[in-house]
Amino acid sequence: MYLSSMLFLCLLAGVSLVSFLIMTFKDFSYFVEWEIVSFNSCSLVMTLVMDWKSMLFLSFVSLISGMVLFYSGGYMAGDLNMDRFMYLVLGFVFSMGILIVSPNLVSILLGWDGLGLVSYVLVIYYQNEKSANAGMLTALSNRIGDVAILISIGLMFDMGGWSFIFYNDTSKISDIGGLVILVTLAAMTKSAQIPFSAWLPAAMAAPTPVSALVHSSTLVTAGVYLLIRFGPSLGGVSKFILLLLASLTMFMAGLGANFETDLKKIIALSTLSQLGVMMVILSMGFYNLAFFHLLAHALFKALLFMCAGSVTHHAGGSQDIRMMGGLIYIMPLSITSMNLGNLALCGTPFLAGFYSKDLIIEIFFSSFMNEFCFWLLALATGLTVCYTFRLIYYTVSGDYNLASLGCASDSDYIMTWPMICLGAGSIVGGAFLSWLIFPSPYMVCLPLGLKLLALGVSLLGGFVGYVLNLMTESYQLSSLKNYKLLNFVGSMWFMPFLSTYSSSYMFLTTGQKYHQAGDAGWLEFYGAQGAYSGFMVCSKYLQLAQDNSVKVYMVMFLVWLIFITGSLI
Amino acid sequence: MSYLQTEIISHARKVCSLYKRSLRNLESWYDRRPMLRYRAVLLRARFDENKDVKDLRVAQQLLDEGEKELFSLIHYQPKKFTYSPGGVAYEREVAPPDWVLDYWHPMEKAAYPEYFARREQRKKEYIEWWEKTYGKPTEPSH
Amino acid sequence: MLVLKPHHGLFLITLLAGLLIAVSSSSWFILWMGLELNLMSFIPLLSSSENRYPAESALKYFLIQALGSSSLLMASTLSLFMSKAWTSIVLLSLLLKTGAAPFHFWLPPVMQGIDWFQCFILMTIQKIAPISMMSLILTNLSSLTLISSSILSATVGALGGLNQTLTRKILAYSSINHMGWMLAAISVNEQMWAIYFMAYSLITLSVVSIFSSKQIFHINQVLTTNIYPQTTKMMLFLSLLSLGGVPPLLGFFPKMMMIQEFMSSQLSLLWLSILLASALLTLFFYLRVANSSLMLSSLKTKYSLQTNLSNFILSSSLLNMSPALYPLLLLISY
Repeated sequence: MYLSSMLFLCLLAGVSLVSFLIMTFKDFSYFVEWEIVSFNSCSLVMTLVMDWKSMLFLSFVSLISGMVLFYSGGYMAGDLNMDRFMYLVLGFVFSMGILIVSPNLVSILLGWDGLGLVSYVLVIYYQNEKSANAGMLTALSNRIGDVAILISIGLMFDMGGWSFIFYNDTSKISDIGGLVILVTLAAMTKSAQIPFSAWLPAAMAAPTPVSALVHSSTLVTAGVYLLIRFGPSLGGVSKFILLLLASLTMFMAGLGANFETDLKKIIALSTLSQLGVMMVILSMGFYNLAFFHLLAHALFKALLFMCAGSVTHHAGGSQDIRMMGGLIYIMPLSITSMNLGNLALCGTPFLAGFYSKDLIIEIFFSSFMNEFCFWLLALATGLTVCYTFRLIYYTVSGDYNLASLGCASDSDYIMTWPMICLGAGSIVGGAFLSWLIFPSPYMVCLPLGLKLLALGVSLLGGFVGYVLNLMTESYQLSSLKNYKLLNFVGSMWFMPFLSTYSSSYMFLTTGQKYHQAGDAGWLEFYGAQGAYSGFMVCSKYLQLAQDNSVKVYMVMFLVWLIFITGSLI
Repeated sequence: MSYLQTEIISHARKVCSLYKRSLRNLESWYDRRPMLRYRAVLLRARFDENKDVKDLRVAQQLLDEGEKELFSLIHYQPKKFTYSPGGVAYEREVAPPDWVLDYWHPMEKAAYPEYFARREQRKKEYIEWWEKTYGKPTEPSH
Repeated sequence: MLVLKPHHGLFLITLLAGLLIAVSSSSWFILWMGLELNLMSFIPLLSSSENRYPAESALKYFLIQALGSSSLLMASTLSLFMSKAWTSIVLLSLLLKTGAAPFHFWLPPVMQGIDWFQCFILMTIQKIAPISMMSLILTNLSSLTLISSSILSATVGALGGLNQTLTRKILAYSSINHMGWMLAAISVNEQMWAIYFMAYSLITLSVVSIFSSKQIFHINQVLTTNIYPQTTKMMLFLSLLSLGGVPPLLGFFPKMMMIQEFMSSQLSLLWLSILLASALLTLFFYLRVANSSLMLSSLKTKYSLQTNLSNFILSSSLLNMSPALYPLLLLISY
């Protein structure tokens, strides 16, 4: 099954890549439209848009998911529910495909909800308590975004249709109050920006191939893609808030990744940081740059997760980097690919990440923005390199630190072949994309200091990341001196607690209060029981009136007769 | 249920428990083996320093201080074994215990007549083997 | 357990003949005559020589109906010179004859003494003539009396039934409550009350036939005897829910039509809401009849001397499910 799905998806990738090339060179796009119902001058249409953006994204999604499905043939081998897993992943890819090719808010909701549902089912694939909690957090966080899209659909009734892409060039969308803010909110939940970040590391409870798919090209990028599509209509306050929150997310995730000990969570936090980068550049108004980074990021992030999965798989399920060391000697191919992905991530020149990230940072530096966001971005760039080198330290150097009995190796070709393919992608992908997406290259003119700032913070970050982890016997851990700060940073600024405990605590206590005061209190006494006893009293008086002889009934009738007739004469 | 103490716990046991937890905590902080060994030896020395304290009042105070210090240094992501409670893969693969088969409905069992016949046979053989090896179980005296 | 004697046939025929005469007459005198014929032939149906309770009921019924008839006759003669007041006298006497509040007092004691078959006739057939006459004499003046009577009947029927433990009295109060709805239906339009009445008669038929076949006169009999087959309980529950007007069942539809009519003909919403609230209360005591026997102590014996329900009872109970077939009407009409 993994082979046939891989072949099918790769075929799809090829077809959409070829159509992307044709569409770019001949400069055209297709719209397929089916009018389902037209009601009160509102036409509900199912529209498929095939332009260069959707075709390119589709080809990347199907290529990566093909690789991931092939990979999971090795990773999930021997699992009892393998078939369910495969179908779920295919359903995931299908939902993403629907979302990519629809320029219509209603059909976007179809794909969007499909993603939410399948991601929930995939996160709880392992049926332990951890996964169940993570799944619930994921589903409920994403639910906020679903609701926001539903409300936007309601608001778009005004416009006589939901195909927002046709209104992008006019100011119609921003005329409807709140619509843009709601769409931004939806995108922020899906792409895990700051108030909703907690679910993304929690979703690491899913099997690693799922993480590879979810965090590279599908689930989390859906929000970014939505905003890219909505692009020209974004503006005003929502843009500014997005810029602020996205820079904070970027910084928070970069900082958190430096203190995280779970291999998969480190990579998840780096995804979060890169999503922050995309959102930042998106909020500055450079949609194509965000799209560029989205695709390049998809390539090396899938690669990173695959390598992490390979390590986890061979280390007997252990994901803790404290148990790792010197892995390069026993699984050279996986670790080499992983570090390739890592270097691409932190923007090493001429790897995939370099082209997009360097461009984004320089354009950011040359734009009009506030100083707070500027420093956050500069710091986050350094932090990315910092946690990358921390990972390199833990995987490459040191002594063997795993369990004393192990069989870690690179022998499973089903797992290594996709790594090699995507590794090649992370080397050449950036250059390839930049040539195709931008017909003429960007020219960014900056003073020397700013031009070198990105390089400088990167070198500094790499140095710090490697050196801080070197320990000798006589050093006390310096992080222990700032224990409280460490706790704050190491647990994602307490966001998991705030988004789980606080919300459930508040709602549950409110529910209890309502129950005590209402259902078990006033409402019960004056509502159900009060009504019952009141009616019973009435009923007793009626019974009293009933308790008479026929003569009295007849006299009563006559009295009424005389009374009513008398009043009418 | 750790908040509910149901038995008398000796002071020695409390100290041992503190020592073990501190060691595990050190393991979370210092992940390279040599550093961990160095710190572990230091920790052991601190415990050994007071091992001969006879005055229980002082010992109790030392224990309380130790607990407080451990609490202030606890790791934010403690290292857990993969398949132990709290670990990432805990209860990941659910293996239903063998006795579940005994609670199948007769109609369900009837679907696999050979297997269940053999199963009953094996059970009988096991009881025979047990009784031959260990003798018949005696009635417990109350 | 329907016991029909030879004379029952004769008196049933004259009873129906009286009804037909009354409904189709064009003068008040003939109408009075039809009502008298109807009354006179119902009395022998009620009384029986073996038991003194039916005789008592028959006497009470006779006295009340005679009072109603005489005031009706008086009103028809007064109509020559009291052009305003006579309609309200007619209306009052007809309200007395149907047993609508505030002249409902005779109905529960009369029903308490007679058998289920006679109860059924009293609750349904005996109401046709007075109600159809009321719909004839409805004027602006008398409609105020009608509205008051309707609201009172609904309230009294709902509240009175709450304290009852005897099934015949419960059904008597239920009849008073439905009387309130039917009086409202008269003032809505001519067909509405016919529809309401037919639905009410069918549901009452299903309830009464089950009570009659098992000779249930007290709600304890439903509760304590677990020897009935499960289908009996189910059918009883179904019929009672339908009588209370629970949505998918037959009893809901006339009520829904009434609500629609009220909305479209701009009648008082206070009136409607009182009717609806009273329907909720009646549903409470219907449920109390069946709830504990079906939900709480629903035991089942393997052997039972009780026979299963007859086809007649089953089909009359299942009529309550007939709304499920309404969509099929679309197939006929297209």
